[in-house]
Amino acid sequence: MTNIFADFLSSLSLINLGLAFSGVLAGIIIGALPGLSATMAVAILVPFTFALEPSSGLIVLGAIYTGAIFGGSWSAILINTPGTPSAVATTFDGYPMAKNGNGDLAMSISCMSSFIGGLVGVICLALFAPPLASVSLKFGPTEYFWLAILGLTLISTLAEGDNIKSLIGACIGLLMSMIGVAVVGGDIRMTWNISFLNSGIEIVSAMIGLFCIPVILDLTSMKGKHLSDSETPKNLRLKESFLIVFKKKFEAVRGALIGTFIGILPGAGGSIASIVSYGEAKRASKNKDNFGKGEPEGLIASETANNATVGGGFIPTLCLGIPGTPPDAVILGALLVQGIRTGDTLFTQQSSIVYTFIFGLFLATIIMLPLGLLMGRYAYKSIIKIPKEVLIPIIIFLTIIGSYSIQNNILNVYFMFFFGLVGWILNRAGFKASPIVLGLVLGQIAEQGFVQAYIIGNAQDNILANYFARPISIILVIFILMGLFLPALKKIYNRRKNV
Amino acid sequence: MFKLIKDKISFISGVFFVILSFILFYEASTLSPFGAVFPFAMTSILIILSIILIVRSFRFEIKVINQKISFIKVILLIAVFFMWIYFLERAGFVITSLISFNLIVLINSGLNIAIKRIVLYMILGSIFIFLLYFGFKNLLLVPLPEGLWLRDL
Repeated sequence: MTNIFADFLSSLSLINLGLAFSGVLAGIIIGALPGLSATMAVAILVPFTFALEPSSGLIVLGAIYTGAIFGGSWSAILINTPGTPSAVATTFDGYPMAKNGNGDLAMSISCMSSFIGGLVGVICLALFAPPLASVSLKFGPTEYFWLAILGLTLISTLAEGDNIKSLIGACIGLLMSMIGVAVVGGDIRMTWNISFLNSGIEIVSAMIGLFCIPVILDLTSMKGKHLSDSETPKNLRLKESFLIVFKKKFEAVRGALIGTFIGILPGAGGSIASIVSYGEAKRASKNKDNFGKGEPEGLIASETANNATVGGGFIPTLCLGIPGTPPDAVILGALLVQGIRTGDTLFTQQSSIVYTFIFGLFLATIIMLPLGLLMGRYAYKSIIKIPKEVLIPIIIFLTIIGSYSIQNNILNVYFMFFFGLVGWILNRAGFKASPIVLGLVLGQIAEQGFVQAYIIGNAQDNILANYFARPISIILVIFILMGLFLPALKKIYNRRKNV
Repeated sequence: MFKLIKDKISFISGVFFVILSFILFYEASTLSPFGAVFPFAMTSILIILSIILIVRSFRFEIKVINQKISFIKVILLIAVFFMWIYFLERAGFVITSLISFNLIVLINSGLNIAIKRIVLYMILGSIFIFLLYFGFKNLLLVPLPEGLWLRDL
């Protein structure tokens, strides 16, 4: 206990506080820029941390990661473009809130929700890391496949618009994810002799194009202001945001727990977490009909879950040496370079560094609250004030620079442009971008799980049992079926009741 | 027959996706069993969903609410956007961005805004481009294109 207290004090040193502050600040800015992901933010700064003490280096990396995941919500709310894939669900209600003149409220709610999510994730990491890590080992290929399908069916049935078209969009996303070398088998698929496609479609450039370009083209044709100005007095709307979040405290904690749990599963990440949390929030809410039209509860669900994956993702990273999310993989590399060996003994033999790191994450989450509220307010005010004539080329500029900087390759910019135009046409035909993007993000997880489960089932001479008879799979399949058919069954039931 | 269709957009999209699925299904048949199993499964699901969309299009219409577009502005914007990307590596990031940025300001301003204001927007935009260029190049270490033409001079 004394040691843990000493670790806590060590994390509070002036240097560590300064590093956590700078890390969160840099993370928020990078995360808010479409195209610059949390992984990139962490990867760029890893070499700088080698000169620092191991615990300080890890604190700054954790702070950047925390800030970047939260920063992703800003562009989702203000320009309908998720800064990171984990903020896809934030666009559902965040952007409509901004369009209705409640962008400042959305920014504050998003910050408070991210704070709660981050805090719950870190607490779970500190208290329950070893037992929770063992849960992730119970997930085999079949469970990963069903988890990815659950994410896709939820987004298809929850996103605004036609469910069939959303499911088709998810299939298109999955098919797009197959372009390039197959994850199992190594076949080169659907590349049509374009060598650049061998490595597959770059998810972030496709995401920028699919989300950003339809917004840009619509803004060009739109008359009047791009976002409605708030009618309420100009302040942080702190009290109002706090009351909304406080009123939905249980929902916020539920979202955070969902995020932590899904964060524990290696590879699943914030995108599934926020979608599952959003789906659960909608299912349980009394205001179901307002979801997708600017309902704060939807925003709380998405933001608590994606920030909780930060703490959750570190559980398998630290206990098993299996990174939960891509940024965790980069941080794991930094841990190994610093001479820290992950595994069961980490919390006993090198507890000092681990607990200082956990306290550092805790500190970064706390710093994120005032910093995010203050910066968010100014970001919203700036976006409101920028005339549409200037905002459009600024967004185009960011899409180009964002997609170029992923691999410093101009072809990614062409792909972003191409996907943007395709996305715009599909959008006008009623096919939304979010199921396509999620299909693209989850495609590899789904395919790997599906094919590996098929191989295992084939070897056991019972393919169907391997897909449908495992306990966790059964639960996931039930959730998928509920997600697909419950809304339709409810409609039929209500219609009959009215007759 | 076309008159019987109540939701023409859904019908056309459905037909397009059925054709696309068959092409991809055929292409998957040339792959190894492991490489083909997932594309087979997904294209089959896509065919089923597209057929549902086609059948449904004969029964009722699900209206898609779209914003009216200004074709001239949109086409001009797409053309400048493409030029921006095309000349990025040839003329360099700064020059291409300065020209394209200001062209897009002009397209969106139209004739309704005072020239003074347009000039102000252009100056502010140019400062923004320079700031981000140096930020990306020096802080984030992203090597933005300097331009083939200028490099040769």
